[in-house]
Amino acid sequence: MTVLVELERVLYIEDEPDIRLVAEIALRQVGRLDVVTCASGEEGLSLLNDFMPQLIILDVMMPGMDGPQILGKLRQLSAFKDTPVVFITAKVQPDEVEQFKKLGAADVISKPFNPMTLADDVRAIWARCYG
Amino acid sequence: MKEQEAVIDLLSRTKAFVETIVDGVITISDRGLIETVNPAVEKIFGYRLDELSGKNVSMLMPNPYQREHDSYLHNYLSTGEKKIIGIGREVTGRRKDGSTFPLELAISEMEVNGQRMFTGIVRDISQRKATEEKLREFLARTKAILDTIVDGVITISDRGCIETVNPAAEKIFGYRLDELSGKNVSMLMPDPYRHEHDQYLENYLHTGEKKIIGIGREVTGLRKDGTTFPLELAISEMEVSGQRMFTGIVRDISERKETEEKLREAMRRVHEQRIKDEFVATVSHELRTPLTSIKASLELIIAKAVAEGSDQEKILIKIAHKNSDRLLLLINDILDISKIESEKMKLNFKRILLRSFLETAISDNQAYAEKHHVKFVLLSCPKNIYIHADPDRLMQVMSNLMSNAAKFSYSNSQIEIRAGQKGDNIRITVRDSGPGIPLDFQSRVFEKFTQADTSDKREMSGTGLGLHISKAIVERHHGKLSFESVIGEGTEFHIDLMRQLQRQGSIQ
Repeated sequence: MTVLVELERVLYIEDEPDIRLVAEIALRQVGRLDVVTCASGEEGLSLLNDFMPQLIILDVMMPGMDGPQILGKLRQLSAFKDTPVVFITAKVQPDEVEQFKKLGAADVISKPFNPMTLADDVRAIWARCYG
Repeated sequence: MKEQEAVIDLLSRTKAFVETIVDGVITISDRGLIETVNPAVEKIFGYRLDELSGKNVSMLMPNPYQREHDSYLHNYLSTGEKKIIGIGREVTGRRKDGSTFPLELAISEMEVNGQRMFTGIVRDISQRKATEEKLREFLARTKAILDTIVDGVITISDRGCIETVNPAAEKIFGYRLDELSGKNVSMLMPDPYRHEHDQYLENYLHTGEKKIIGIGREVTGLRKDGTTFPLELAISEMEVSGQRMFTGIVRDISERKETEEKLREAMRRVHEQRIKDEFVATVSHELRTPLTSIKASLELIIAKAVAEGSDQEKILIKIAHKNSDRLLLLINDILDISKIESEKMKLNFKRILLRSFLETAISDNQAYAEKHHVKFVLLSCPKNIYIHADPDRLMQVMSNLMSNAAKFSYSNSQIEIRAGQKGDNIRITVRDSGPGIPLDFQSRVFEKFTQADTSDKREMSGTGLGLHISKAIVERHHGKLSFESVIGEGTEFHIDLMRQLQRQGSIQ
């Protein structure tokens, strides 16, 4: 399996500040990824053109715009309509996972996640998308 | 001269009268021959005067009356026995076109110039007959409706006395008609309605103030046996022969009420269950969220602490981490239990190659083997057996059985996994060589929040929900989870899945 483009830039949108921080550490310090995190969909969408993320991780349940709504917005932007989106959620029932995939998510990571392997998990999803 | 004028005047009056009345007037001789007819006869029978004059009157009758007429007349003239003379009666007439019709006939006898004659007055009663027939039919229909409808129909006088009841009303209240007739209708109501009824009626008759008339409403009825029941009542007012009457239509709605109550109860239960489900789902999400940061923080620290921290720090952090793991298991299990109890666990059936499924089970659960220093071995499994199952849920069962087996095994022992056909089933067995399940605990193995007390000092963890959930998952696969345990030798857990269902893949 050859990955043509290496994954470097990941945007992570999560309303819970503690989770945002551990995930940032897990992705940046453990996983050596260039990560930008933010607390809301509005903020995340405003960062897109400056940061140009290659993959976006979305919390599902958030006040304001939730994960699926943000995914919908992304799909309307020509520059990000094919960007892999990974949902991260504490809702982990199999039927719900199927539902998220139908919405167009590349995959679903369940909470609690393992911070030591989070970056590897994300890279594996990236590889499946472009491998 | 005046007398003659008077006679002429009378004659012309009589003629005018006879010519204009709607009844037919026919005079016949004592031999039965027609002498005169008025215009009404022509109209009734469809003959012209000249077609009738001098003919036997029996031509206006169909057979067999036609033949009988001559012998009647003959008989009367010789015996004086009257069968019809002086008595009006209904006979059948015959028109010129051959059609017959009901006819009212009155015959009188007279003597003109010493000659005996008969006058017949005929009236076509087809219309009346038809109306009567219609009325009879309508009455019969109405009676049939009243006799067969399930609603009770009761008519009462303006004094509240029962005049008529239909069979349904008898059945609803348990009285016979003769027990009700003439009684005050309030006997069909329990107190306090009974006393109120007379006042209502009196008040209405005086003031015209309607409380129930024209409006259907629910009231309480009283049966003969003293029991009461909910009753839908509609009252209408009518006038029969100048007499004011009331008709009550009553329907026993006990059954409907009961159904309504059951429906309400069922809806309440569904609502409660939904609230409970939502609560459990929310709680599990809300618990998982802080746990995510706790666990992830600890894992990040552990990774660093292993290299840098003191021994005591490492131990304390591992305790915190281990217990956060345990909390997570508990949350997952409680969510599963909730789904099982509300019958909402959805299974996603797939065709699975059993052998590779079991190999995956062994590799996925390797951590338990390492933690408890045991070894999982796939002892036997035919190569080409497929099963229909939800792979995630069945894997959950396997993990539960294998982690239990690892927990309760002695170090360096082997845990055997076997699969194969057994009778009508495909059986998967997980066998340990542990101490066995204590006899007094065996009956409670599948209950919620149960864990055996063991003298073994090895650390036991878990929620006590695993086997309960596993059993439910296997049963949702139409299978059976069972065990055999021998103290001092070990325990075998069996998952039996029906082979028939597996082959057809008919589990939905």
